[in-house]
Amino acid sequence: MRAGGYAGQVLYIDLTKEEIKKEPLDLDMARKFLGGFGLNCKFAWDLLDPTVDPYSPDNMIFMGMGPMVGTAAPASNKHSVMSKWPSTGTISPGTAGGDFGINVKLSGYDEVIIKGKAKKPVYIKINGDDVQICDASDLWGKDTYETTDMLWEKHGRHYSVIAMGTAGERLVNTTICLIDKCTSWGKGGLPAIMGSKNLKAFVAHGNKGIRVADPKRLIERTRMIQQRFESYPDRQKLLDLGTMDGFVFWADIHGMSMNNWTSRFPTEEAYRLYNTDYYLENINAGRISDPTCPMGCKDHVKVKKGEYTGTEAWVSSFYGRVVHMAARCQVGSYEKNVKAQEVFQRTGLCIHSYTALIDWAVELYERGILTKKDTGGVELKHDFETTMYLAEQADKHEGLGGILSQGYKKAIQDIGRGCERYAVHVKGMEPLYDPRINRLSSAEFNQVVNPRGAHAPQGASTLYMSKDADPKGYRDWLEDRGVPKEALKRIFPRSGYFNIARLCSYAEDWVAFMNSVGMGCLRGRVDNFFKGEDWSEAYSAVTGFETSLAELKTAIRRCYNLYKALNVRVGFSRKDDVFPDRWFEPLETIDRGTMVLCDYFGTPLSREDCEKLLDDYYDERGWDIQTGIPSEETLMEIDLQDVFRDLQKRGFME
Amino acid sequence: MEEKALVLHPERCTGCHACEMICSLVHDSECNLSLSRIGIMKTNGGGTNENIPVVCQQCHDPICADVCVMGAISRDEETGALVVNEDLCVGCKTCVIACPLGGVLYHYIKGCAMKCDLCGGDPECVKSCLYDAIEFLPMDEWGIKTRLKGAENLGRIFEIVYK
Ligand code: SF4
Ligand code: SF4
Ligand code: SF4
Repeated sequence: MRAGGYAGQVLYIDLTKEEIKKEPLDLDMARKFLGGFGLNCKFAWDLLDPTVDPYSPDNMIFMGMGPMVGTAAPASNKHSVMSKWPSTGTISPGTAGGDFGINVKLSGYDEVIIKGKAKKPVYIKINGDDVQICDASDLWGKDTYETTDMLWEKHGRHYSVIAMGTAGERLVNTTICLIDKCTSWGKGGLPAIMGSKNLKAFVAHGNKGIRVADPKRLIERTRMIQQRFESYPDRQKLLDLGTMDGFVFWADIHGMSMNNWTSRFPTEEAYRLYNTDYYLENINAGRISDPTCPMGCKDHVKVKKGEYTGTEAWVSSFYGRVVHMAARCQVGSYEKNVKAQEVFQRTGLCIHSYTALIDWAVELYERGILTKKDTGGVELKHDFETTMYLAEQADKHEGLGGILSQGYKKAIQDIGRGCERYAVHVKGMEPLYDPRINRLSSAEFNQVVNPRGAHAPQGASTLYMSKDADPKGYRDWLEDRGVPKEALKRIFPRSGYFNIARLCSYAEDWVAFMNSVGMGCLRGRVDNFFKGEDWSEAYSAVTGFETSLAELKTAIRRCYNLYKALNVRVGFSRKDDVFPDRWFEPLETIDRGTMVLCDYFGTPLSREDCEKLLDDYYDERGWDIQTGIPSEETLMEIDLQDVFRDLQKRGFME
Repeated sequence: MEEKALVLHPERCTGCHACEMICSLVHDSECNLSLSRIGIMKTNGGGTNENIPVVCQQCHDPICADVCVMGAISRDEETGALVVNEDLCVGCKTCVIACPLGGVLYHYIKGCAMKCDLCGGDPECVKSCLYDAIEFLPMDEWGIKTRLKGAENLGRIFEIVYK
């Protein structure tokens, strides 16, 4: 029987040798590591030297599209990229929706692996069996919009395009690629890795078709899921607002810290500058959906009046990006906010990462650690002008902006002068959520333990709930997603309390799972309408491998442990899972009094308490409490004997 | 037989491809944008107002059937859909060229013409489009809806002119 879902081939591209190879996908391996994120981990484990310099031709880019990607099942679109990132030195994933993944699958590939370095600028064209390394000399120097337009002009709009901007050409680390001008991919420096390989872009279109083992069963399940979305009374509101449906949470309930984690963006100011009516009337120009997503949330935004009329961007999580520009950079009006976003999107600067570095730099300037000598004579402030100035420098990789744009790890070395005291990061990546405002929930905690660095979404999933929400919601969700009874007992040892650290590991697994099979989305607006059994049903219907949720969950535990092991081999361990100092300082706010780090129930947490939570987290994962490294027992249990032996041989465990 | 057709609303289409995935799945047991009878043509970033869904409108006086010398395209009296008789079709593609809407395509695996058959009267794409960008309507109702849209447009113009 030919399996459904899996396209069946792995595509290897060596840019140095100008060699393209196709090999059949090992289906036993695929079932063990699912696909997408999971298979990326497996290939990276087998092929990537953990000590590799991220810019070296030997660094590799792994692109994985799980078995559900490109099928009719709802929200089947997530594809995952893995590499050794230059900003953090971690080997970790990035996730995207968009049309690229489905077109690679439709071309016949589950996995694309790139290594080497081209002699001159190139892009990769994937069109079914026809895979080519093409000349990109005319694209070099072009921003993401221009590159994408030129490639569409050449190949047709039915191709999906991954483009890096100008910053990536100059090996700027705090950058992302754009898929079809919109979806961002590869935070942590995918463009810089591509830049080091002289690789400007990818285009893909395929028409091979993805086989579905049992169409009737898939259609039945699809209709069932779609029904749940359709019958939701507030559906239209969610569609109209996109991710901006979270605005009130940000403005009022959760909030976002500002002035480099020393105060909170005032609620009144948020309503004045960025209220939703204004957004609907003057900013939003259209809604974009990822493939088969029933709750499309991406934004087409266009400034309709004033100085920046015509400024245009297509963005995923528009809400998050507005918030960063608003709170970290304090750019002011909605129009300026969108203008700044357009500049970042065009050059390929990562709005999540680079705004945090700007925020930090302004504090360093205010403290006199940075002076006009460093800034090129410019006074640094939290405002639009500073943001644009530092963005321009970052894009050119020159001056202070150039230093900042390499990420915390390198910038701390380059600036020196005790600047690290004010740098809020974990493993070189900026956190997103402030647990003093939101309390230490799953997403906040994950920022500390995530092997990638402080990247919240991995632990967020639908579990990202308001601090006032009933914890029962967590319990129901965990039960539905097949978390075993014994684990539930550990997470909820008594009524009125739960252990966020223990819980976090299951949230992480779930997101990793969705990104492996390529179905589902961590946003509550999508995940809330799914049930755990949807995945086992859809996966079985598509692939023809009858697989239970419990089996799928074992597979994802295997993948996540392998992910951790990949980074253990790089040298990461418990010493790197550090709660930032600033989280233990009180947060003085204008409108909410003083806020301190609290658990979900509002009990203040000291560093010692947090260390205890870390113990719990490693314990729940079956990792050594002292080192944070997966134990022999755990690795054996999930059939990773070879991983254990490798770690042992390299001296990471006894 | 009541005359019914798929009514498309490009301004609501988010480009999610759900219609194409289900259409190809239902007809060819695989998911394949290129084998879908409905096609989403994207422009620019691919959001609402930037995408154009294209599908056969089951013409009252069908050009595709007229140009087919094999007589392979005929109307299904029950559903009103113009359907391809794959046994008669020789794959000459005259109908593909002749259709002004891009409603007829070439099935590159089967080697014959391929077009929307209204799924035997119960269009699957309509059910999969959760953005209401495809409706299955009798023509009289479509007429009323079209007028309503026109009225809305006029209303907006009046608002601009008089306010
Ligand atoms: S909700 Fe998730 S899958 Fe749907 S469009 Fe948004 S990001 Fe994509
Ligand atoms: S009605 Fe059926 S055949 Fe026609 S486009 Fe829709 S899904 Fe395809
Ligand atoms: S299902 Fe609807 S919204 Fe999605 S691409 Fe098709 S017509 Fe557009």
